[in-house]
Amino acid sequence: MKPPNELDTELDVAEEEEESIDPQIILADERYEVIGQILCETYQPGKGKWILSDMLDRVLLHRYLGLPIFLVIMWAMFHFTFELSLVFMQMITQFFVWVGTLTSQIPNPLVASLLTNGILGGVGFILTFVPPIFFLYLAISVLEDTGYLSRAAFVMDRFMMKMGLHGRSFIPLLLGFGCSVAAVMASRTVDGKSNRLATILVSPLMSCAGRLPIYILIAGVFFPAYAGTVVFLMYMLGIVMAIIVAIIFKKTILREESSSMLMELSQYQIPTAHGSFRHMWDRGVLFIRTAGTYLLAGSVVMWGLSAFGPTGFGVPVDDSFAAMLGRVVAPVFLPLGFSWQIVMGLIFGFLAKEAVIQTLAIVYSVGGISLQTALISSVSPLTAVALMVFVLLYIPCLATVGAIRKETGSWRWTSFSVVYQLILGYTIALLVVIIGGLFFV
Amino acid sequence: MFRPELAVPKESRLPAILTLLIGLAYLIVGGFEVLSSLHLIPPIVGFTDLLGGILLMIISSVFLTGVKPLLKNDQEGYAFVAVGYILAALLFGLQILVILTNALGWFLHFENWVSWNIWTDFTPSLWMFIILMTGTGSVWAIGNMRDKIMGVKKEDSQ
Repeated sequence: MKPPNELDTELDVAEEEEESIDPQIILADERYEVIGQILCETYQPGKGKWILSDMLDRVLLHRYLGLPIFLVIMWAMFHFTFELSLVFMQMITQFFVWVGTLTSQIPNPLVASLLTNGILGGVGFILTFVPPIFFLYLAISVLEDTGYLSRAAFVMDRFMMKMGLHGRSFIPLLLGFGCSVAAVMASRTVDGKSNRLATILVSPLMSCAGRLPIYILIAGVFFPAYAGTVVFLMYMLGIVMAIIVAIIFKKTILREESSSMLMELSQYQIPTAHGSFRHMWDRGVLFIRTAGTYLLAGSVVMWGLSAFGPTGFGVPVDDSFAAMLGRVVAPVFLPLGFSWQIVMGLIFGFLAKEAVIQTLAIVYSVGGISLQTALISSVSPLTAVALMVFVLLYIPCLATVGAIRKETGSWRWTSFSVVYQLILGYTIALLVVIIGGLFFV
Repeated sequence: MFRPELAVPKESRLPAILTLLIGLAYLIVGGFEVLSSLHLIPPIVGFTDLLGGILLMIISSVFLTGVKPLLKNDQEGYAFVAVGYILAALLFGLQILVILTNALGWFLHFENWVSWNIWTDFTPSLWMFIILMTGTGSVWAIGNMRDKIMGVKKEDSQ
């Protein structure tokens, strides 16, 4: 017989576990219990009707074909996002180039530089990525509305369970394609404290829409023939890294038995244009709002740092405050081949991931070079890949850090999230440089 | 809720053969695209995307998995055929959209689209689906005609 104090402890643990279980899961369990009891009394097996939804599920949830089909659909999503948006991005670029020719003629050089290099070079540049972000949200909305996205979680459940993870964790991870904040908050649906914590910690590894501009830019500049595929591979790398890191956490600091996944799969639906475009707009408008607030403020600050130096306004960009600040941190990133300009972009990327590319655009714009030209002349393709990998994995943005703090309720876990991602990003990017260097240089 | 039952042919031997042919065609074209993109065979125009080739092979595997149940007259085989068609249509539709947006860039004389021509976007996923639909349409039309003729003959004999 167990001593009373040990029993008390066990009871406390059981109570804690009960409290940590999502009420929705308790409701679902109860519902299925009632359904089971009714069926036991009333159900008589007969020849069931086979409908289109069952037919599709037989293949889309197939043991071996489910995952390859998921990859085909994901590839199609990113191909759609990238290839279709190119021409619309060009239209927006042409528009801002035209506006830039007007603002550059303003007699006051300070105002002209602020508007042309700061606002248009920064926010204007980031707004050229509105089409791919809207297309990505449209594709996600269509997949959600058809009912396939929940099936994707089901397909991945088998693999995640084998790896000791909770299958439900994949839903927040998929939401992370849109925004890491949404992914972190959606991890509430994962039952079990350590499962939930593992999901929160790996959610920021999924490529959010904020990282998309840098992938599109770098893939378009360095790998134009395979740009869509490169963007797709970056998203896949995010999933793979999230799974690997979650396994490591589950085997070391967050040990807990995985429970089976209980999920209601609704029938497939044909998405409505109104619904899909509405969802796309609701999500996409957040990006425009970010561009009009944080990124606008960030671009003014970045322009100030790039256009001013110890001797005042109009100094060469290499003598600016931005260069001085960037050079302080740049030695740390020397093994990765990142210049001070890239380092400044990465620092500002903590505010919002879109700011990485915006900062680069402003720094080079103040220096009088276009971003594409500057990247080709100063960055090797290998460093460009390392940069994409680093941006994918390094510290989450400020809003995501806030969400992690709120969801974990702990500064310790929040700090851990920031530190481990920074180390992970650096290590994997360094491996890209070292291993890639052996084969491609 | 009303759940309408799917009407699929009772006899699945002919669909099985057709599915096998479609699966093999996608496998061969996908294989050639993979080999061509890896420069293991002389380069073929439009066969440059390694991942595109792998995707065609995945579609082929969906079709081929459906052959066995169809040969056993199991209705489940039609599920694989349906999903194979959906995936092939997805890639086809996507490529059509790519062509349309590229044509828009070319029409507007944007720098990156000046040298664009439609043949560069005429990928295997596009023409394979055209062949697939033409073949399926022909088989369906022939089947319909045969049913009508056989029906007429039966009526005549009665």
